[in-house]
Formats: sequence, C-alpha cells, structure tokens
Amino acid sequence: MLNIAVCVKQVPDTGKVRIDPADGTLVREGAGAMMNPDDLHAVEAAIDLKERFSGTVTVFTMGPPAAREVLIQAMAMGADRAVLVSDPVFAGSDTLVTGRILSLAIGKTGTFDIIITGVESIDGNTGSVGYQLSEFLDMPLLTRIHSIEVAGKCVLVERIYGHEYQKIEVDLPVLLAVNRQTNTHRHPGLAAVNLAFEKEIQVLTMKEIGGSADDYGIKGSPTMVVNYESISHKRDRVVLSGSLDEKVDAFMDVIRKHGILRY
Amino acid sequence: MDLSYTPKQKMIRDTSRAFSRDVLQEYSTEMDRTGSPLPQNVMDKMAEMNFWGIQAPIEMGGAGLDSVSYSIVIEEISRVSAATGLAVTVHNSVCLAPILLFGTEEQKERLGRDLVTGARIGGFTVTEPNAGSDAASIQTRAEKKGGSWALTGQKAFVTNGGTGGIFLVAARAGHGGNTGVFIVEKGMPGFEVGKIEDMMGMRGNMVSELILNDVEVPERNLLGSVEDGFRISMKALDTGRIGIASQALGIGMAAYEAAAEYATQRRQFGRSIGKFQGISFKLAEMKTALDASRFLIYRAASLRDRGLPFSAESAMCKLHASTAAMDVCREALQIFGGYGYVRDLPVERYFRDAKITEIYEGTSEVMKIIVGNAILREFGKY
Amino acid sequence: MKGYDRENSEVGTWKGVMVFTEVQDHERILEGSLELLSCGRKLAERLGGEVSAVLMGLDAEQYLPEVERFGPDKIFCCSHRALKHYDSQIFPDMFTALIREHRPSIVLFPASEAGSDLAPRLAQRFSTGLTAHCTGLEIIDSEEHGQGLLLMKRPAFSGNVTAEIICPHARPQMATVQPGVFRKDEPGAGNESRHIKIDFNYDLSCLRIRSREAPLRWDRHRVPLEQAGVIIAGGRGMCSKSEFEDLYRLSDLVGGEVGATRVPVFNSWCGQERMIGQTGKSIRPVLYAGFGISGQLQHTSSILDSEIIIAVNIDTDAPIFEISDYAVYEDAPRFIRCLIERIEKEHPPGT
Repeated sequence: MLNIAVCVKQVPDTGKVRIDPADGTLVREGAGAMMNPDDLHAVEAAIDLKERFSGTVTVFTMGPPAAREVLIQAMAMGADRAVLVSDPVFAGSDTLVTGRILSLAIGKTGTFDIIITGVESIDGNTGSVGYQLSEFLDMPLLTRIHSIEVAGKCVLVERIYGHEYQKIEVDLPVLLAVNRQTNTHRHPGLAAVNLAFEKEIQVLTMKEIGGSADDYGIKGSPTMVVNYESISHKRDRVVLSGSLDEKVDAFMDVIRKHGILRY
Repeated sequence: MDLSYTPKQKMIRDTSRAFSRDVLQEYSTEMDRTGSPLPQNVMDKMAEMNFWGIQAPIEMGGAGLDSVSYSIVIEEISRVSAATGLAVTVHNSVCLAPILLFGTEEQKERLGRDLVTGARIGGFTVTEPNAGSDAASIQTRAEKKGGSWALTGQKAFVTNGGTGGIFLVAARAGHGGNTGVFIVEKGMPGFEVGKIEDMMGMRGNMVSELILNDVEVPERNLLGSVEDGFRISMKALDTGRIGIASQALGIGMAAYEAAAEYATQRRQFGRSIGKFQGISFKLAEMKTALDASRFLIYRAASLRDRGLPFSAESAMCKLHASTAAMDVCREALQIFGGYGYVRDLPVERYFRDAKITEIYEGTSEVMKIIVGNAILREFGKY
Repeated sequence: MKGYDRENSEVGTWKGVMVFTEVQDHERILEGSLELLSCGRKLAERLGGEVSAVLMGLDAEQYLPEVERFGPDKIFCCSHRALKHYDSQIFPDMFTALIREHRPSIVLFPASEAGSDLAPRLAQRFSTGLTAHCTGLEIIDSEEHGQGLLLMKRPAFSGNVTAEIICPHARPQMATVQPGVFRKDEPGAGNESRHIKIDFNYDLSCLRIRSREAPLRWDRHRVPLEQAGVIIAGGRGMCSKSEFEDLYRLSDLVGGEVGATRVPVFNSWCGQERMIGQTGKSIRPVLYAGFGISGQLQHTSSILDSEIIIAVNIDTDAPIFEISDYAVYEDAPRFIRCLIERIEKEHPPGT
C-alpha cells in the first residue's frame, strides 16, 4: 500500500494578468483561477500509481481559501484526501518559504512513500520548489520522467537526462517532478466532480504546522519583488542580413542561443 | 436572484471544455467532411465522463447534475462538435429523461442503466415523412396483439438513428386518437434502420429513417399508458428544447469567439478591422444575442429544476437561441470574408450546423405558436 | 525549522562573485558559464571583491586554460571520475563547503539542467534567496534596502511580465541565468588566475540513485507536432517535393519535427499529418522556423504560441514576417542547403 502525496497550486490564467499602470502592482482580478498545468500531470501520475500499485493519494495545496477548488479538482480526478495549508501569514512567501511550509505540512500529515509535484508553475516560473522540497525533506528528486514502476521498496524510473536515456533505481521515499512530457492527464468525470464537492478538506494553519509569523510570508522570505513591468509581446522582426553565408551564421547563432544546437 | 455560476458549475464547464478540446476536437473536422460517426473508443471515453447520463441519479451511474449544469455540458461539447452535442442531448433529454420521469422501476432498471452508461444510445421519434409540425397526423400504428403491440410505420429524420439501440417511438395506439410512446429496441424483428441522411450540417450524427414492419413490442415496453403518449411527448420536448438551445448557444459562441479573435488580428487599411464600427457593432450585437440566449436557457432550466411549468420558457429559449445562432454564424462568416467561405476554417461549418436548430424539436414557427397560446391563455379566454 | 537570519546576516562580510563553471558533455565549458564569468567580472568591478570560478569534473584540469581566458581571480578545481556527470548529492555538498568557507556575496549559475538543480538546493541550505532564469542582473543602491544589492530580473506569469527582485538580507544572493543573456568578453591572454585544487573525499556509498542499466544514447523518438519542441515548417516557397524533403534532413540535425502549410500537403509533397493550420494542428514549440511560408492566416494563427519564430522567405512583404522574431529575406531552398552544409560541417554525423 503506497502512501502518495501530491502538491498542487492554484494559479491565475497568466494570459490575463495585468500590471496596474498607476503603481506597477499586479492585478489578478478577472484573471481567473485554475490548477497549474504541470500539477495536473502530477495528480495524474499519483492516481496512475495508486491504480497500478494500490495506495492512497493525499493532495496538498498552499494558498488562500479559494484554493480549495484545486483540491476538489484533484479529488474529482481520484485523490482520496485533501489538505489546504492556509493562513494569512503565509501570503507573499517566496519559493524557499513555500518549500518550508509544504514540507512541514506534509510532515504533520503523515509518512509518504512518494511525493509528486509539477516541474514549474505558470505564474512563478521558478521551477525551484521541487528541488527545495527535496532538501527540506531530505529525499532524492527525480525529473524528466518517462515511466515509473514501483518494485517493493524502490521505484524504477526511466528518464531522459541530458542526451541519455537512463533506467535508474531509487529507494523509497522519493520525490518526483512531472509535466506534460511524463503523461497525458485524465479529465474528471461529471459524477466525480459532483461528488468531490461533498468531500471534506482538512485545513492546516500556522498553528498546526508550527513556527511564528516571522518565519513566513514576506517577512520570512529572503527574496522580494521590488517592481513588475509588463512586456510587449510584439515580436521584434530582427532582420538577419548580409551574404548568404552571413545569414546562415546568424541563423545558427540564434538557434544555438536557444539551446537548439549545441555549441 | 444570483446569476453567477456556482463553483461546481464552473468546474463542470472547465472539465467539459477541456475534454471537448483534448479528446473531441481532433475528430470534428473529419466527421464533418466524411459524415462518419465518432469511433467507439471516443464514445467510451464520453461514457467515462458520464456524458450519457448527465442528470441521471448517481446510484444509477449518472452524474446527478442540475439543469443549468446540463446546459453547460451540451454547450461545451457543441462548441467543438455540434453533431456530438446533438447526439448527447437527444440521448439524455428526450430518451433517457422521459424513461426516468415516466417509466416503471422495471423499465428504469432494465433500460435506464444501459442508457446511462452509454452501453446503448437513445433516440426519440415522432416525425414521419408526412407528419412534421403536424405531429397529430402521424400514421405509425400500434395494434394490440395478445400481450404485446405490433408497430408498423415509418419514421423520418431520427437523430442517433444509425447508432441508437433504444428509441422512444410515438405511434397511434388502437382506435380513437390515442398516441402511445413505445420503447423500441434495436434487434427487435421487423425494426430496421433505413436510409442515413446526407445533411448540410450536423454531419457525423447518423440521422436516419426508421422502418417498423410489424415489430412486436412487449407490453412492458409501453412508456406510461396509451392515453399518455401525447403528454409524454410534449413534456419530453420541453426538456429537449433546453438542450437544443444549449447546442445552438455552443455553436454561436464558437463562431462569435472566432470572429472576435480574427477581428483583432486581421489588419486592413492600416489597423485591425475590429477598430471599424462596422465590425465592432456586429460583434456587440452577436454578444448581446448570445448572452440573452444564455440566460433564457438558464431561466427555463431553473424552472424545470424547481418542478415548475416551463413549456413556454423552454420554447422561448429554443426560439431565441436558434435564431441567434444563425444570425451570429452569418455575421461571423461575413467578418471572416473570403476566409470564412473556405473549408480550411471551421466558420462555414458552424454556419451549416446552426441552421437545423431552427427546425428540429419543433420549428421556430411552432415555438411561436406555443408562446402565443400561452400569452392568450394568460390574458383572456382562448 | 528556522527562517533565514534576517537580523544577524552581517551582509558586509560576504564578498565577491562565485560562478558555477559547468562542463558540458565532457568536452568543453558550457557557453553560459563563460558568459557568467564575464558578467561576474563586471559585477565585481562595481562591488569590489574577487571573481572565483568553480570547476568540477573528470580531468577538470584540461579546462583550466579555457576558464582562465575569461579572467576569474581564482579557480577552484576538483577532478574525479565521480564528477563526470552532474550529481544531485555530490555537487551540492561540495559547493556548500566552498560557499561556507569563502562566503561570496553573489553566486551565479547557468540555467542549465545541472545549474537549475544545484542552485535551489544551495539556496535552501543557506536559507537564502534564489532568482531563477534571470534575464538581467545589475547592482543597485536602494535607500530602503541597502547599498550594492544585486537586482535580478526575470520573466513571470508565463513571460507576460518582468519581475525585479532583490535579496537584501540573506547571503549569498543567488541567480540562475538564461544562456545568451550576457555576452561573453573577448577571451584574454589568461594567465592571471590562481588555481586552487580541491580534494575529492566524498563517501560515494551514500548516493541514493543507482543505475540499473547502462544509459543509452538517446535517439530522439518522433513526437506528434503538438508536442514537438522544434518545428521546421515548409510552404509554397519550397518549390518541389525534393526540395521540401531537405526539411527532413534539417530537422533531424536540430532535433525537430517537420510541419507544412496546406500547399505541400495538397501537392503531395508530404502527408496530411504534417499540416499546421486551423484545421490541422496547433503547436507550441520553443522554436518554429518557417521556410518559404508566406503566412496565411490559417497557418499563422496556429503558430503564435511558439516561443521563437524565424521566417525565411524571398518575399520581403510576406505577412509571416509581421509575427516573426527573426526575418531572413532569402530563397528558402537555397538557404536550407547552405544551412545543412554548415551544420554538418560543425557537427559531422556520427558524433
């Protein structure tokens, strides 16, 4: 019986987030809310493991009360339990503090064999929380996963690492970070959605996970955002000119810079 | 009066939209081009989504949802594939729903389950080659023979005709003007699927003739009693029209959104064409018509859920939504100009799909008769 | 679990810039690291302090001359078989020791796979801030937050917004940087760095990831267009089937998939499954390169989610250029032949 945990995040529809021209702050109203796309694949990976190897799936999210919805969505996809980690004190936490809060919440909830997260969130785009969770929980983190099997007390993972296709074995407990390269996620069925709204959600506040207000939120975060600037999406139409050879050179520079061709 | 969606309805919309985009979309063009139906594996995936039993009780395997949620699901499917939206709404609202509402426990158990799980697809038919709006003049007859009925006749334009396994068939029962609704199952001897129609739109739905040659239908397959048939049919259509209106709304929304996006991208005379009032006024009219359709639908749905009469309201929402869909599609195509006319883009398909919503499950003219009669009843002696 | 030490950080005692100088494919120093050495030099000039490079790998000494030419004051060098591939336990542990001893104010990493693993782990260990995928770095003086702070700029909200971030109290200030953000300097003569050898005495038995089979050279398998990271697309301007087929050679060389507009499909230069357009497929690659494509609406509306769009077309008025990041006014088949030749020269097939 595997004990699986999944961490998910509610994010705005990033295409619709705006900057308030008056003071450079972020306006999230009207931007809608959804589960971070990578996290849909994390939930899918967890449910898939549960179906193949038998176990329970507990889904965690750190966020304001409205974040309940992503927990309900995860339960509609098949998660068994949901935990909302929420406290006004947590607002404004950077990736380090988020990792700390999640690791404390996970620790307070149970002992897990496998913890799954998405690789990157579409609002923060740091992709760092998985690695920091790995440090806080002292568990190895595996990424770029193609397939996962569980055999006794270890996981067998096939993954692409650099230019290699690897088959590796890691003892449980283990942390996995997944995205759309790992699986195709299911869609919650209508009945499952209907039923998920009736399910209980456990709430953990600072009182339950411990620590004081100074450890969390903006106060507890080593990094701070001092400004936001919006970016025009107009593409630059930079002309690569010169002789045929020069144009080819310039073309190759561009694709190298974007990691398409190695240097 | 809170006109906002509940969180549950939002999630119903999100999952229906995501499923339609991720699973159904890739088939929609092909289905329209070739007229071939959805493959079985996609029908199975739709069953996993509970699309074949949207409002059926959860204990039966359905999703147990309210009527506004129902409308949302049909709208989202229809945005991507109107032919599929049609299959789902006819199955749910005029086959499954009447059985759940008027059927015996035995009928619900025996037939309801197969319908809810999508094991068998459902249809409903009154229309015949010589009886369309004049529904009372149908000629299909049901003769009592011992413990069963023998049905003979021909039905026309039956949605899901080619794929369906369970049909509610209206037939003249015995003597006198009684109409009964009989549950006819594919496989019953004498029951044949006739010609599959080659249609302007809704292509991929196997709309067909049904031919009944002395089909023996057991007594236990009579829905309600022979006096009930007309009333059951009318009530079925009241519910059905909410679905058709939702389908029309979905088609209209798809056309409108495509046009609005195009208007902001297409540049002529040095600016995006949306900046010209000629175009932005069209978009404004389109949006207004669609929003009005939406709330007329939800009003009818809400009355239904509260067990209140909703025939006139249902006729109004179908009338409005289908008219709006045609108007929106025509204007959207106009905004796209030449690109709207070529089959590379889905705009012309939306236009072809929309038209039938003004005709089936009661033409717009019949809708006006229904509403007109209700008004006259309200204001005086009719 | 304590938070970072806001009050007692003695920020002033942390000095200098440390750069993770990553070895790529056991062949050379990652270009992004060389760019960071140049960037580090400029930051150190503004702030004071030294630039140190951290070089760990198999036979790492062979890379010393290359690193030196970009002028770090010190190069910490550790060489061992176990450092041949990046490892999530060994590298952070060794780097942690270096940071603890030398206390750099700033540590920079290329935003490579290794850098993106290493940096957050180190940030967690020092309870300090990390800004990932930076697109800009500069030193600022802030009345409110302090003098000589590193200002880190990065995209957020899927690139719709740039966030400017500081790490005022915790140390070191850490950043991972996208390749190509900074230009690397002209390499110098390079003989002024102090080389400091680091001994390798790591207990390898505590490594938790075990290899079950020898890793295979990953031959990229075909993915559907919707999942492709690189798309090489051709249109009418490719002129003929045989010229269109050059696209397959090019896409193999760059690890992409071939796409088409409706003209090649209708002319049977390729199959229907290659078509990108409103009734074809929608794509989201990192790179979309369109050859001989004019940019009709049916096609372009499906490519707008590409990160980078490069178009090559002899017609300077082709609509596709209006949505391109880079424009090449050239005959597409000719350009492709020259491009393929150049790539094959630099990366002969079989290596």
